[in-house]
Amino acid sequence: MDFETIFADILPIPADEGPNPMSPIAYPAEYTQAMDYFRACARAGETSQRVLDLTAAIIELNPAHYTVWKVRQECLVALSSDLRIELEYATAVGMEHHKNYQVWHHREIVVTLIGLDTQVIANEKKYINNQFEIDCKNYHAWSYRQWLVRKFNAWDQELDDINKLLVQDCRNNSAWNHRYFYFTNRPEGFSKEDLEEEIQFCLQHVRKTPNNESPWNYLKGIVKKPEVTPELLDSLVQDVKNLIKENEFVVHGAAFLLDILESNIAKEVDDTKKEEVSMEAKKLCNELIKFDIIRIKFWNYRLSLLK
Amino acid sequence: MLFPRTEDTRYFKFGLSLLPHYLTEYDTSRMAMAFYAISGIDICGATATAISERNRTDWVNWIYAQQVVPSWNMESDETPKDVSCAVFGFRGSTSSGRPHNPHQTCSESWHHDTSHIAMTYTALTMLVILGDDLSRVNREAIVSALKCCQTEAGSFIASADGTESDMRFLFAACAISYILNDFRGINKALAIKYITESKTYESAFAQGPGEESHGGSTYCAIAALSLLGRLDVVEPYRISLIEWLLKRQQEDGGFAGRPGKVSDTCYSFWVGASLEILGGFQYVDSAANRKFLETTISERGGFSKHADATPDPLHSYMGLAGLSIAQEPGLQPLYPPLNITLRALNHLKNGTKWWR
Repeated sequence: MDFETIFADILPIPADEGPNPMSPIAYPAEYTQAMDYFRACARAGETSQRVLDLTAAIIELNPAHYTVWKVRQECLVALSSDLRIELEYATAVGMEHHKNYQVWHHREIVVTLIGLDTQVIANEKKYINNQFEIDCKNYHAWSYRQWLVRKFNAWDQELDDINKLLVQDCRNNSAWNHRYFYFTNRPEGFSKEDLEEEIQFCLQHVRKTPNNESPWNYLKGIVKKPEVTPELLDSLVQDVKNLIKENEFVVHGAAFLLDILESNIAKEVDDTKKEEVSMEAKKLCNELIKFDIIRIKFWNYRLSLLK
Repeated sequence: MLFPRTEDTRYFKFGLSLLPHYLTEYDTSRMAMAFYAISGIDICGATATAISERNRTDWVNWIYAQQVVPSWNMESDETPKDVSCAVFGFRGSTSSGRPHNPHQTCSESWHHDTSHIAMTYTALTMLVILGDDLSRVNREAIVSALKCCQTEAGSFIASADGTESDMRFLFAACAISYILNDFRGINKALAIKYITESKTYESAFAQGPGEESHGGSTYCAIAALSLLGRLDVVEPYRISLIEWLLKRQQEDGGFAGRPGKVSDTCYSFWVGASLEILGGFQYVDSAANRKFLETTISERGGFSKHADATPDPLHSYMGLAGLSIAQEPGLQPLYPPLNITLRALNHLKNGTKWWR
């Protein structure tokens, strides 16, 4: 971009570091030149095609400059630019910079400006899935997906996509989190039948990968739901005990049981029963001390709480 | 591996004098990059020896030159119309092009010349570490900026130029308020509501409601609650939260940020400090963590994210901060909720304008 010609009427503003700056950066000359003109245009509040082009030139060198993105958004609005084309631009930048906050935020701004459009929403999910192919645990991508789904009530496809990802990697904690998000936020909610199915879904996973923390955490979460009856919980507890027996030991399974036993002790009124459950809990602690050595001090602490 | 190492001090000093061209994307967060170096030097106990008096004075001035000040006297005059108070606080760098003026108290507003909440936090912490009394800080302006930055949901955006809002900036708002000893800028009930709504089914904290539990956002939430004096909020699930944090420690001794992820140097601080605040650090296998950090430390100074990677300012700071939390001999102890040394905290309480 030939700044001197295009911005001939603008007096560029250099940055003033003072006599002894902190952490100055060895900016490339093109960046400094572009920024000198940007500073002047931003101060003047100019929104125009040339400033829009200038923001693209700067973003190429520094995609994290939030003021530059803000001015870009102002230009897009002032010029009534085609926002669907802008999303293509954002995709080009986003596929180079997967974890850049400003690029994801820009997408949110542009999609909000477009408003409800089923094609755009479908394209956004495709973009997010493309990002998942690069990093299936990209926190920004997941946060953006939740925002999109909530804002536009776009719950279709969510469970299918979650399941595809879990097939690829059953340890993808982000996918498990999104599953919980999906069931607890979708309009139809989380029925008792759903809960029973989800419990079975988790059991299938922990039988295959007993040391996978994610389904255990998910289970811990769903058993707190009021629709979980004592019968359902008892059946689950029995399944977990069987699983632990079938394997040498299952740390997450034992920790899961310990939590349930502790809450049972707190609720128990009969002293004999209380003592029985307490003995069982202490036994679990002792096994955790033996098998989860890195957290030995913590399991000793849990044991001390039972005495 | 014995501390403090002259290599680390040298690494930080080098970063303060110049950052390479491939860090151009840190232009708007140079204040944070400088904080990693300054606080890093402080953890090494080298603040008095490694920073010359000349640098100390010049750098305090450079920080103050990044303060965005109002065009009117906030204590006596009315707020002019059409002014967004959100701009006040500290810039991340000289990027907007303002003339360098460390003593400016009043100046006309410039379009798009904004502060950034994380830069206000790191600017204030650096001023404290460098022994300044904060007398040139416009507290009234910053308090009104915070008010403008809090969202309806209770979290905070970072800048008047519109950024995302999440737990990081809520923490920054609490840290700023604590340093200035003034919480008028925060609707505390709303902030606590946001924090509790960001608690996940894993009993830890996400960046926002519904999102995934993460070591970084968990630190931000716990530190914020501590600074707000409301750690009682986590009491009902404190043990589950401690358990989640302890489970971040991997077989290699390091800490990961989420289940299913690998160890990364910086979580030794985010997770370690969270545990320390909750009284759960005593259950950590410190020796194993130290062994992990021995693999990410660089002979030439600093730490990297993983073994066999290049050191960067953030991980170099977090490696030392993580060791300090574990009470590594030779390193200065930290005040975990603010992420500054106890020495610096002592200066805050005894040597700055709104605390002494």
